[in-house]
Amino acid sequence: MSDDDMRPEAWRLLQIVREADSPSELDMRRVRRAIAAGAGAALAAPVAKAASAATSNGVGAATVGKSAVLAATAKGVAAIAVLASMGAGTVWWSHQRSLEAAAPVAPSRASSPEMREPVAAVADTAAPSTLLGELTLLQRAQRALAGGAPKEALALAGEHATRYPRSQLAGERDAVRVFAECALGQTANARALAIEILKSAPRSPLRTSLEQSCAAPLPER
Amino acid sequence: MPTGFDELYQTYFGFVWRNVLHRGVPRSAVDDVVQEVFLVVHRKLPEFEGRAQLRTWLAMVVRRVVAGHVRRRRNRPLGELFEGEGVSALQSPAEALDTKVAVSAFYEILEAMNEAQREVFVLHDLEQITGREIAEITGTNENTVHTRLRAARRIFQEGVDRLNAEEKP
Repeated sequence: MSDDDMRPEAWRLLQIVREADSPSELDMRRVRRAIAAGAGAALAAPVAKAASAATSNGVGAATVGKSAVLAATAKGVAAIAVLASMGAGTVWWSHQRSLEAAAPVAPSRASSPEMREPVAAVADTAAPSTLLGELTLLQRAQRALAGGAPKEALALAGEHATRYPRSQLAGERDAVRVFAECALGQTANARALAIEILKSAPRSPLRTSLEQSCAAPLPER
Repeated sequence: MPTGFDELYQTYFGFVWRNVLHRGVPRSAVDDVVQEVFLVVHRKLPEFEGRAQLRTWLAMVVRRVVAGHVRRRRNRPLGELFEGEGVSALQSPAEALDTKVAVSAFYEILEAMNEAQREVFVLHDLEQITGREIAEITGTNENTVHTRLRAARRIFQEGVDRLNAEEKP
């Protein structure tokens, strides 16, 4: 079977779809927790840590699928839903974009506005739970970056790292740092950080985004 | 077994997720269906004796679970797919729009294929699964797979051409 059946633009479209339809790390963790709850004791051990963390910050560990997620606090769910809706690899940043990042870029819109509003409200109030606080802070960093303020994004990501050193969202946070460093022209810093991220998670869905940033070329997995 | 399962989950989560999505499960149901797939995998993993490649076996589980889901919902396999395309919050509005347009164009073209063509096309050209593996997954032979793939690619290329023609009046 020859690949010549389709021309390059058709292959390019497939590539875009593959990236856009790939799950984020957050999708992966969310479903993993639900599976752990569904599979019961047999699977409980490996995720015990994540589950207890989830319980202590108000997002129930026994979340199975959509229905049980609704049992968690509405604000928390909204924040998680928006992060989850970010799609492929959560962070998506092209090389060209980071080069031209000096020019202000309007903050992008999450795909569904009704999910977005509650999060904006959450951001303005004191975050009651750890997970919610983490999400809010990370989102502020991502917005700063998308809004063309890489220095602010770096500061917020730094704050996130100090407050939540063992965050489940460490990969996403560090990716923000990579792209912010790129925007500031600090290629060496960006590359060192990207290598660290991929060292701790070689199969990270963030890989594609990182490979498209100024940190490229990166070591193979 | 948990270690084996975790490794499998890490490695194949993306594959299973996309496969569920591209088999026409609405985005709002993807979480639940993917979860069901891995619960089946977890239950059956001890019985998996390496008769097939792990990925082949997973694709077969996905196929069965999605078929059950579609039957239960009695929904059209495709159609509801565009509620929240995979668009990153870090894309600029223009980039996000481009991705959105591209993704919905993809699904639109996919609807022009019949189910068998779509299945082969997605597995082969999006997931890079070999013709032989697809024959095993779909319970047919390699020749049939290649015939379907050729037809599907023709439809896809025609769809892309049509879009290009619309863009350039």
